[in-house]
Amino acid sequence: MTTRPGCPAIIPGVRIGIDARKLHDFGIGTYIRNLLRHLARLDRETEFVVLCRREDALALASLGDNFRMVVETAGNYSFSEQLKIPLVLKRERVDLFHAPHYVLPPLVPCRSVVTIHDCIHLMFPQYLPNRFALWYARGSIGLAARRATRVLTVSESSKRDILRFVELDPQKIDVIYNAYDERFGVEPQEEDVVRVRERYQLHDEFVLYAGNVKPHKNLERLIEAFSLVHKRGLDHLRLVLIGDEISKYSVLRRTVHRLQLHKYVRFLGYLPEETLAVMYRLAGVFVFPSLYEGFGLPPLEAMASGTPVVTSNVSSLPEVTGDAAVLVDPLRPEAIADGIYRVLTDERLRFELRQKGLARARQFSWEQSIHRVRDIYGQVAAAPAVARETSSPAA
Amino acid sequence: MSAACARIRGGVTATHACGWIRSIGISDFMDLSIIIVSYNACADLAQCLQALHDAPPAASHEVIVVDNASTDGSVEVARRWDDVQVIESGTNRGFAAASNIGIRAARGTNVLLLNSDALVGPGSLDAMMSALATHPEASVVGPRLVDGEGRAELSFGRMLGPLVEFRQKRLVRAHARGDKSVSRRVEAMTRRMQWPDWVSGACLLVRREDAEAVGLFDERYFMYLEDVDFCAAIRARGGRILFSPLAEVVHFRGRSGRGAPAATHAAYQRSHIAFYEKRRPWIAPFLRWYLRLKGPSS
Repeated sequence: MTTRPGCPAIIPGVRIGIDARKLHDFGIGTYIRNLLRHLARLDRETEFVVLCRREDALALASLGDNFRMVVETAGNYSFSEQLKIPLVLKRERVDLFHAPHYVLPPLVPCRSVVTIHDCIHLMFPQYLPNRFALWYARGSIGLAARRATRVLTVSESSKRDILRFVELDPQKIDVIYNAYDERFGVEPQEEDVVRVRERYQLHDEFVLYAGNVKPHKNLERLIEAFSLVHKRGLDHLRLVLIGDEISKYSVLRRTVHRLQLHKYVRFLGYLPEETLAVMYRLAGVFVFPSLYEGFGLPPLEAMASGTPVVTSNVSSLPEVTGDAAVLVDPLRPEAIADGIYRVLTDERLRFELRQKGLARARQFSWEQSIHRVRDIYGQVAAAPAVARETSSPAA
Repeated sequence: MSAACARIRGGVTATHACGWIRSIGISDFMDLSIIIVSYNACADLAQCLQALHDAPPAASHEVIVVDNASTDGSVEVARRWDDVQVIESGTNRGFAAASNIGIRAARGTNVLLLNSDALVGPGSLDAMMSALATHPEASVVGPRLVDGEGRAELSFGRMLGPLVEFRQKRLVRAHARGDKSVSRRVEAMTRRMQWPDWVSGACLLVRREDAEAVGLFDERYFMYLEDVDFCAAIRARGGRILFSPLAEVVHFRGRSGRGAPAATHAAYQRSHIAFYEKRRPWIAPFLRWYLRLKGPSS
């Protein structure tokens, strides 16, 4: 790693636009925040134009003098973004546009890089609000992938999925892994631990889930699995589910009542990151039985915190966790329960997972990843003009 | 002894909701945190705390009083009860901010916000808790509020807009005047279980995860309308608001603001404008204009 703050511009005079309107999204927001933060650290020369919401403009202004904020009010997935974004890019004379989500308006007047995190909208159309949304998602992903000069994605598994849905030259897609926030890697203060333990009443051993709450996160089966573990004799065990849209899925609360677990299951809403970091460390085991992920940040955060992880054997999760997690079939509650039970009862396995998890997590770093993104910006910007014509699928 | 008792009773209430009995008293999750914001109403506060102690809810619970720098000795009054946790906020930061201080200190799975001028009778809180248990889709539960004479208060409604406000105010005024037909109508309305858009913050039970998910109360409101805004935020996240007439709470309405009517009125107007600016920005200028036209008298 030779690049340090103050390194020269990618290519002098090249101006790069980044769409940061989804700054506060769960997964994509994390990606954008880290992208901007690390670009600002790595590069103080290249001019960046950041499209952001009005309320974020002030906070983002601290990134550096080479970052220019442009307020963009067009809604996510709106029709107006298709026209307004190209106009802004034209006005700001942007040479390269990075869309950190699959919406890349076809009228964008310059070279472009698009990050497609996952194909969840295409794999699980039943969770989309209507047929039009599926049509829109399919159209946008296909269009973005073909139109962009380079496509970035966050795991080999996502790359396979993109290639499954879009006919594309595999060479055009680069896999650049996400990483965890450094805050999860440091030992929390003792008084914070005491405070969190007391405030959330976590005196017994507990199983933890954190992430957003959507049907494909498979939390219903997790609750069923927890019930099985409970029946196998670990009846002091608790389950803590953290996610801020739990009230949208009342089926989860129903499941808890159906299985008569309301004394042992606790839902928590949004938690500040410092509290979450403590939660990871306090948990006996972190379970993430998702049916599909683009990357799967929460298991990585848990591993970085030294917590054993039980996760699904599908999608990108085996790739992210490597051999440092217990992999289970997410469709069978018995399998999930078995994984949890093994981790909680086998001291040696737990120790092993902890060591392997810490080592595995260290292999991911935002700095390295964003460094690679920056290199790709350079390659795209420097490519001869004909390169733009290769946007149709290569033979 | 009493804590253990409360725990055992807590087990029974929860089971009452789903008809099941198992391992009574094992849970160490506290079921309910009762948060009372107090500001210069020591007599009411004493009455309120006494009522809670005379007829405590069956669920395991804690009581937290957040005092907004009262000058009438409210803090000393609250400290008379050993099991009441008193937090002094230092300055008068308003109802929303003080409630947030209380929620952040709360340990319970559910949070009850209670005005100091409310009296909770036996069984009311249990009824509210079991409403939450039997309606997993509900995030917030509000009880039927009645005044000292047992007359129902219209403590819930549709999302505020000019038309809704006009209708609500007309009803409330006619009800206060003692208009018989209106009173009968309000009486009938408050006897039905329903899913309104908001319930009053005078007595509001919310699941803590849902309160946390919306970032607690918006502190731009000093007092008034923070409850309507809070409920709107919860609905936006997919939660639902339940009005349950099975629970009844006495609310001596407006006693807490009686000491300084002009200041209370001004606070209401500020909240009123803030609410429209946040939720319906295009109406806000008209509201300002209307309020200026109406003048300072209420």
